[in-house]
Amino acid sequence: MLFNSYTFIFFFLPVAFLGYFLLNYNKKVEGAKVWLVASSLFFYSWWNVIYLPLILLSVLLNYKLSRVLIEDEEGSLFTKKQYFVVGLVLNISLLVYFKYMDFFITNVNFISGENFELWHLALPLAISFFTLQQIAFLVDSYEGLVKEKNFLDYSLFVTFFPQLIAGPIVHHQEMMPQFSRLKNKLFNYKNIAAGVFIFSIGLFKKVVIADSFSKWVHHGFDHSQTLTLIEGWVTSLAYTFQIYFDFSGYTDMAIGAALLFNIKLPQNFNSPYKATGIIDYWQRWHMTLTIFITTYVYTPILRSFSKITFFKAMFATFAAMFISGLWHGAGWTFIVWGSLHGFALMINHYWHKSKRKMSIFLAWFITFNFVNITGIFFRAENLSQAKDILQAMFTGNIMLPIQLESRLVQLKTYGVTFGSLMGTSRDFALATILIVISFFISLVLKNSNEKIEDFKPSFLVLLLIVPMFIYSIYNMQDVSEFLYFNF
Amino acid sequence: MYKRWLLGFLLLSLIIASIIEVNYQLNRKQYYRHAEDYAVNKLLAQQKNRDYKTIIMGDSVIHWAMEGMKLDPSVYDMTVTGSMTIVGQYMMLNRYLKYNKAPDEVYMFFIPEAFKEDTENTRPRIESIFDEEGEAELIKKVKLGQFSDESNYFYDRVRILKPWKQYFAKGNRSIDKSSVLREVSRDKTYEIVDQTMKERHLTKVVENTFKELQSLCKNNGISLILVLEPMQYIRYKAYENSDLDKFFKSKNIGIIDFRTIYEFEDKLFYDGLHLNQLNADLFMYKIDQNITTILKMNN
Repeated sequence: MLFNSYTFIFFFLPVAFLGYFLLNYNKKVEGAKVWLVASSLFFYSWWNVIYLPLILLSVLLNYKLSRVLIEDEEGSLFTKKQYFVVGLVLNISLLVYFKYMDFFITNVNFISGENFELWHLALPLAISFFTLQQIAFLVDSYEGLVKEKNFLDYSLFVTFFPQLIAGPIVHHQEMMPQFSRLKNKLFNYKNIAAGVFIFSIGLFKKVVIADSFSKWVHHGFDHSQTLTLIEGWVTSLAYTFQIYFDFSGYTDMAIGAALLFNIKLPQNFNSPYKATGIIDYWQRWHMTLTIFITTYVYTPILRSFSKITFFKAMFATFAAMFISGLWHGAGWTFIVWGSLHGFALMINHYWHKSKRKMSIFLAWFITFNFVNITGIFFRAENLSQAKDILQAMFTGNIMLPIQLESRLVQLKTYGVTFGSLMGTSRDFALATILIVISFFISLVLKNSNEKIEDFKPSFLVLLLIVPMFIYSIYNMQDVSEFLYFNF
Repeated sequence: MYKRWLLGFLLLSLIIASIIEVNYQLNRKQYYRHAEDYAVNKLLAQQKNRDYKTIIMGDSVIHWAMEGMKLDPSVYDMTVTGSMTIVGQYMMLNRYLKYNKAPDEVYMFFIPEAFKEDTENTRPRIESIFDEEGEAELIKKVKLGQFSDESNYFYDRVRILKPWKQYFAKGNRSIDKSSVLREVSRDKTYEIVDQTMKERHLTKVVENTFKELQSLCKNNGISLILVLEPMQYIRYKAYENSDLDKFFKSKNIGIIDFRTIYEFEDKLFYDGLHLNQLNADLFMYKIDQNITTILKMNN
């Protein structure tokens, strides 16, 4: 079920909300939790009920393993470490099986010249997210950091519908205590108002801004071979803003929906396009993934060295980003994207180490363009498509809108041509205007997290937020998926 | 304070929704299905008693391909910005002939689906609106159903609020978002088109209307030339050997298949349906060379 669907907004969310608080009101605290788990599983199954047993099995298995790791009973058949390794292998195998098999076979075919058939397995919804969260839980159970043993709380931690599909990637330590806290069972108008406020902002970001970019992005990437220089830049910028407003809009909606239930999800974005360095960028973009990668990938790699040096730390940084790239998708484009970010982080760390200085504007300019250019690999279907767009951006023909021909005709002597950009002059104009507006929103305005912190239930806010909400509701006819559903 | 704010949120939302609803109820027209283009307004705005030798009819593919072209003064561009069924084409020509002199020839560009949609379908993929006085009666004679789109409550209401959308549509070509999205998955597109062609049969309504169209042209001394417009291969493949193809063959109705003149590459349909600028120029050139001289060349 999509957050930006009528079914979710007018049916699922009100029913889940009322049911939860009604049960709590009648002191059926455990019943309320069961209700929320059942609602979440219903939410998950709405997409495709076939994957329901998979998530149930994954939850059961991981819970059982974590219990074994926490309790570490004497006389057990295997050691704690063996159980832990089994758990890790099972989780990673699940991910590999569904996500990476075809990628693996394609590469084997390429190297060996064989022609093994691809499996064409459909990627179960949210598998990357719920597997990560459970790996973190297993690791912490192994390291003795897990205190919670309640199965219902654990199930809720994994399946809680606002974060189930595309994050934020939540940590058991911040989630499970919230499910047990008694005051969270009470109807809280402040949280509900804040939730409605942030949900409306997220819906507007997704429906009005991100979805407006989608057609130009599709158009640009589908016609990568025939793009001119300006079209190449419009395409890449359109994607850079589409993915930001799409994903941060989704996160806002998730945070808003969770707040209705008095649950605070972690912040996932902090104005990433204001970043003045790639380290800064990763502390602002998909923050919960950065924390996960740092804690459960980077740190263990680093800890595996007997002596930590700068070079080894950089190796760990690169390896972590390489894995992050691969986690995002089974394809060379994602590996290139992850590797480029890994390199950039290494350079940025070296820059800091050597205590060099750079003007803020130049630092921002380099960072933003790096993110924008590497984003092409993230979106492209293959490396060749990414190459085509990069070629267009840097060596493409310079074509200006045909409307400027009479005024700038002398530029023709320099090889500049005039024509309809992006298929239509109207689309080019609209895309350009929206890109300018998006720069303004991303760089000048407060981000959602700052807005929710400053939230005051004033009449002025009401006058702003209600039209945004209504406009989004009435414009949801072109429902599209969230980009991060694919990962 | 927060409780009051939430009540305010609900109240204001309801007020705005009510205004939209009232606007919808006041402004909605009972129209007869067969679009959402501004063909009707476009025609009404034209002068009457015109005397053209050639009329070009067609949907958005042809309309946007012809955009900006200087036509010969004897040619009238009666293409529309949106989609158009064959029933819709008939109604338009009928209306034109009511007020103007009959042309010598009518070039009617069509996509196969134009023959596949009639008002018996509850959710047509393409449709045309006719709500001028008398037209509804005329349409009733061919037993068309009344249009009532409740497939999307919100969309139905918001489109009335968007007169600017139609304003922008005039003289402008726009990337069709849904087409672009369909383009992403060509196999899926083919499936949908193929399904439409197979499941939606040539109905009696369409057959009768087509007969009426032929009679209308014959009675007015008009040569009706049907042209299967440029399409992506997947769409063309769905058309081949379809009941429409068989219908034309069995009735010995000659059509000009544009693929026999020029085969446009699939990737040059900028959104999967419409021709990009380069190909629009090429398309007009091919028409001029192979079908009729409609362009004022060297202009």
